[in-house]
Amino acid sequence: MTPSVRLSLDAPTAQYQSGDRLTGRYLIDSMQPWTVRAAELSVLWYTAGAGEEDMAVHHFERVVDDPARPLDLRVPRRFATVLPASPLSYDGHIVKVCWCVRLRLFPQQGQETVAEAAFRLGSVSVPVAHGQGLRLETREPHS
Amino acid sequence: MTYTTTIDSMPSRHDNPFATCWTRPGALPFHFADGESIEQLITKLCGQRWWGEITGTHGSGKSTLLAALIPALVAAGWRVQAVTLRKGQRRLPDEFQEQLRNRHSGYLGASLRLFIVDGYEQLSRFARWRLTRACRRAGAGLVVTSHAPTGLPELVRLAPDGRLVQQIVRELCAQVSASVATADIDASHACHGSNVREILFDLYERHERLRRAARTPACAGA
Repeated sequence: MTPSVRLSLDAPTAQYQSGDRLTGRYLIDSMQPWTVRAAELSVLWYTAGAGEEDMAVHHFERVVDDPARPLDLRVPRRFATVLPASPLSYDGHIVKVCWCVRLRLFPQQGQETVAEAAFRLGSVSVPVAHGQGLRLETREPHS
Repeated sequence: MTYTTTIDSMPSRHDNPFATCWTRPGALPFHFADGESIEQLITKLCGQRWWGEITGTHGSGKSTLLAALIPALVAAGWRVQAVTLRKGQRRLPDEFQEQLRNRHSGYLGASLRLFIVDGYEQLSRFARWRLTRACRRAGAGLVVTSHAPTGLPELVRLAPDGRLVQQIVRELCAQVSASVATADIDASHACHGSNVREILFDLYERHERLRRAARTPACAGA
């Protein structure tokens, strides 16, 4: 049975500004060791919506199981990266720009496991329905 | 693949079950009619000497079927060369044509070679003739998609009905939560017929409007 994966960001609001340092950690919830060939962590953005898709990886790290250094993911592993200036998160009607931390685990046996933690970069105004038209809602940057 | 997500109010593909990432060919599995399967389709293709055309209107699932068919053909040992033509593209891309010209060097002449052209009706008559002649001479397979019959042996004709659309929407909403009334699906189906792509686009729009409207009261007091 595949153990559950815990992927978390240190900032409880998951709101960041450009240049902020994003930090977090991941581990697997299991009493027994779970043999994993490799773990890949990416900090990336992608677009979602009604049109064509795009994505790019901002930060990537890979750890592999090695006889000399066995990979035990029951021990929390930390990650950190400084966030770029763009693209900023955007929740548009046609297209959304989404940021997330994505963790992919490749077990010795069985299927790949993926976990994601979404976060917001920047505070771009979000168009929201207001009566018959639209108005802009501005998000306050977190302190 | 197991998939878990931690979602808050961040923009995410999980906001809308009808976003492209869920509905594009490959992400959305092809739904065969009762009693049909990919194996049956390949058997039929074999019976037609690996030539066949998939016909159907815009958005009826031709590309989605190809996305299911190609891995099955590769698994069966075929070396597949596929190209998707855009609207108004009257000739095959240079790279594809180069491969057709190179038949004497063994590229096309190799065994188990199969060409796939998505949007075959876009090609000029001359381009079609060149393509079919090259494939015939080399003994290569040829599978095409088209909006209307073009004279190649028919592999399958697609015409999704309301029941299939309901099933697809149900499956999409099962993986990404959304509330869609049967009446909305029926109305969209009545409007767009067999064009599932347009129906899903309609539902995307509707879901976005509802999602934003649901946010309005909270924002009004901000």
